[in-house]
Amino acid sequence: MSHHQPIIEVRDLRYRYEDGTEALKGVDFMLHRGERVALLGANGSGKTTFLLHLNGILRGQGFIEVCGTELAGSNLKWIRRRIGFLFQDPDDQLFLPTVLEDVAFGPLEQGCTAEDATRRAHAALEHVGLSVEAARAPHRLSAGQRQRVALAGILAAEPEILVLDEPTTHLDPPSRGALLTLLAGLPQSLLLATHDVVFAAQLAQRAVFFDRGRIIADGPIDQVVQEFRWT
Amino acid sequence: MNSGTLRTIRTLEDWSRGGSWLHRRDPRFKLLSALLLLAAIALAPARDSRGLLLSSAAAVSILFIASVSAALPPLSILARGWVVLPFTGVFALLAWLEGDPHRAAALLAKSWLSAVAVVLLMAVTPLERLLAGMQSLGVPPLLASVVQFVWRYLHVALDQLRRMQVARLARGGERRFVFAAATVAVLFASSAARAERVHRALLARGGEARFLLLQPLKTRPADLGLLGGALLSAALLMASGGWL
Amino acid sequence: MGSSEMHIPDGFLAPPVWGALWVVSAPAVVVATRRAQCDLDESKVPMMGVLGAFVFAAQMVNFPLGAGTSGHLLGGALLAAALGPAPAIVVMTAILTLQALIFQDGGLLALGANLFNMALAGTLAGYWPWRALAGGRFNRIGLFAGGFCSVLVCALLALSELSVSGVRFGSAAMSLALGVFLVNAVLEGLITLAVATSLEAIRPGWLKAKAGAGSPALLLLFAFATVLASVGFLFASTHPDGVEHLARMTGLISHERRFFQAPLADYEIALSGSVWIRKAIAGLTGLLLAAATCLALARWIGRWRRA
Repeated sequence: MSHHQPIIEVRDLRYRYEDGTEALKGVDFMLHRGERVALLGANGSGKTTFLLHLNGILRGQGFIEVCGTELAGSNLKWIRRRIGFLFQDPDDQLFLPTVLEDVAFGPLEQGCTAEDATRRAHAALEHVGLSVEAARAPHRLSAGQRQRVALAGILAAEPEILVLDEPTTHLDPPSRGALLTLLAGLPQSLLLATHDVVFAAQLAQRAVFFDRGRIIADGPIDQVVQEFRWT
Repeated sequence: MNSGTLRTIRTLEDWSRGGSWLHRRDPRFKLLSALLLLAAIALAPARDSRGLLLSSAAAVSILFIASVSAALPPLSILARGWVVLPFTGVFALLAWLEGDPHRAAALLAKSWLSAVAVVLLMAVTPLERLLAGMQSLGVPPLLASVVQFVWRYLHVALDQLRRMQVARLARGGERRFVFAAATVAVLFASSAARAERVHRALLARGGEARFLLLQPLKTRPADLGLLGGALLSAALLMASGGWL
Repeated sequence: MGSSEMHIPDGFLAPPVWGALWVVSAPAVVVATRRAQCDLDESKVPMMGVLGAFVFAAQMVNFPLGAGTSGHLLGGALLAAALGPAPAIVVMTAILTLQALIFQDGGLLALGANLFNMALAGTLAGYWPWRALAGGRFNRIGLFAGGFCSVLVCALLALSELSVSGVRFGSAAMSLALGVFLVNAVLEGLITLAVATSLEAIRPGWLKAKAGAGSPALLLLFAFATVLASVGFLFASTHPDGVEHLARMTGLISHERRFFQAPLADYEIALSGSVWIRKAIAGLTGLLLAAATCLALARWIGRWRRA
C-alpha cells in the first residue's frame, strides 16, 4: 500500500433510517495513515451513524474502502479486526466477568492460544495502567477505569485504526486527562467524534464538521472550531 | 433495593476469589459435593429430636470446618443461611401452631443448613467458573451465556433503578403505583436500547458472545479427594440422624 | 427479595417431588433453549441477558398498594410478550438460577420445582392468554390475563407441591394462602398491563406478535388446560381420598398400589409417612397424564387444522 493511499476512503455515503429519514446525505471523507481527525457537530448530525458504517455495523449506499479493501458483506470480520471501536458507554462493551477475560476476548477471537491471549491482555492492561485490576469484575471499577479497560481490550486486538465515539462523556477530569495521555501516545490512525472540543484539539490536528447528514467543513481543527464558533 | 444487598453480593464475590485449597478445586467437583451435602441434609431422617439435633450438629460442624479450611469467616457463612427465615418462619409457625414443634424445628434446621451449603459453594467458586463447570456437565451454552449476561448487567440495571428513584424523590414524587410502573417501563426501554448497543459493540469486536475460560477446567486427584470427603460427610449426616 | 413468596427453599419438598420435577424441568429447559436458538436472530444473547437483568431488577421495585403494603412483579408474562415463549423460559431460568445461587432465594435441590413453577408453567401460562388476545380489541385483557394466569398457576403448583410433600395446611391457612395468591395474581396482571402500556408510549410496537402461529381458541385452550391442571393438582394433593376413590372406580388403583409398593415400602422419608406419599404420587401421576393428554390433543388438533 503506497504511503499516500488513504487508510479510509468514503465516497458519497448515503443512509436512510427505517422510518425514511435521511441520516447521511452523501458523505465524502478520507483518512490517511497516522492522521488524527476529530468529528464535530450537533447531536443527530450523523457523526455516530457515519462511524458505524466504517466497520459495517450499518450498511448504506456508497463506496467505503478500509486499508485498501472495499467493504463488503464477505470481509466484515477482516475489516473489524483492523478497526478498534471505542463506544461511549463502557458498560456496553465490557460484558465478561473479569477485566482480564474481557481484554483477552479480542486476541482469543483472532485465534490466539489462551497463553498468548493472556500475555497480550496483560500487556494491554499494563499500557493503560490497570494491571492491578485484572482479576476484578467490571462493575467494581469506576467509569474512567472501565473506559480504560475497554480501550485496553481494543488495543489487545492490535488494530490499525482507532475509532472513538464520544469517549469522554462519562469521565471526570482526571480520567479525561489519563485517557488523553494514553491516546496521544498511540501510533494508530484515529477518528474521534466528540463534543469535548478542548480534548479534541489536544489530540487531533484536523477536524470535519457534520451538519444534518453532510460534512460541511474539513480543515485544521482551530479553523473549523472558529468558523462554527464550536466552543 | 438497598445497599445492604449490594454489600452482600460484593462480599460473596470477594470471598469467591480466594486462593485456598478448596478454592482451587475443579468447580464440577465442588458442585457435586455441594449437591451430595444438600441431599444428605434433606434426606437425613429426623424422626425424633435427638436425631434432628445430632444430624444438624454434624452438618454445622462440617460446614464450619469447610469454611475454616477455605480461609473464610465461619460464623458469617453460617449467619447468611438465615435469609430463608421469612419463608420458613411462616411454615414453621404454622406447624408449631398445629401442635407439631418437631416438624417446625426440622423445617427451620434443614432449610437453614441447605442455604449455608449453597453460600459456601458460592464463597469458594467464582460464578463464571461454576457456570463453565455446569456447561461441561451438559448445561446448554446459550443458557450459561445468558446467566453470565444477566449477572453482568444486573448491576447496571440496579444502578439505573437507584438513580431513577433518587431523581423521582428529589422531584417530590411520592411512591405511587403509576410511578413505579412508569419507572419499570423506562427501565425496560433503556435495557432494550442497551442490548442493541452491546450487540453492536460485540459486532465491532468481531465476535459472538462466547465465554472462553482463560484457565480451562482440569481435574486433579485432589478433586476426587474432595468428592470422597463429601461422601463421608453425607454418610455421617445420615448416620447421626438415626439411619443406622 | 422480589416475589420471594414463591421460591421454595430446600428442606420442604419430599425427594420424589423435587426429584420428579427435576426430571421434568431439565429436559424442558434444554428444549426451550434449543427453540430459543432458532427463534431469535443474531442479537439474542445480549437481548436476553440485558432484559433478564431488567426483570431481575424490576422484581425489586415496590408497587405501593396503599395501607403500607406493596406488590412486586414476577415478569414471566412480560418477558414472554417481549421475547416469545422459548427465550422467555431461558431468561426466567437464568434469573431463578442466579437467585438460588447468589441470594439463596429458593433451594438448589428445589430449583427443579421452582423452575417448573415459575420458568416453565408460569411463563407459558402467561404467554398463551396474551398471544390469544394480542393485536385485537382485547389486547389489554390479554396482557392482564397473562400476568394473572402466570402468578396463579405458579402459586397453585407451589402449594400443591408443598401439600404433596406433607406440609399440612389447615383449611384456614389454605384459604388465606389462596387469597393472598389471588391478590398477587391480580396485581401481576395490573402491573404487566401498566408497564406494557407505558412501554407502548415510549417504544410503539415493542411487543413481539408472532404472525400466524396458532389460533386464539387453541391458545386459550392451552391456558385453560394449564390452570385447570394446576387447580386439579392442588385439589388432588389436599384431598387424596377423593382421587383414590376416582382411581379405584376407573380400575387404576390396584395397578398403582403394586407399582409403588416396592421402592417406597421400606424407605422412610422425613416429614411425611410413606402411605401418604403413595397416594399423592397416584394423584399427581393421574393429573399430569390428564394435562398432557389435554395439551397433546390441542396440539394435534392445531396441526391437523393447519395441514
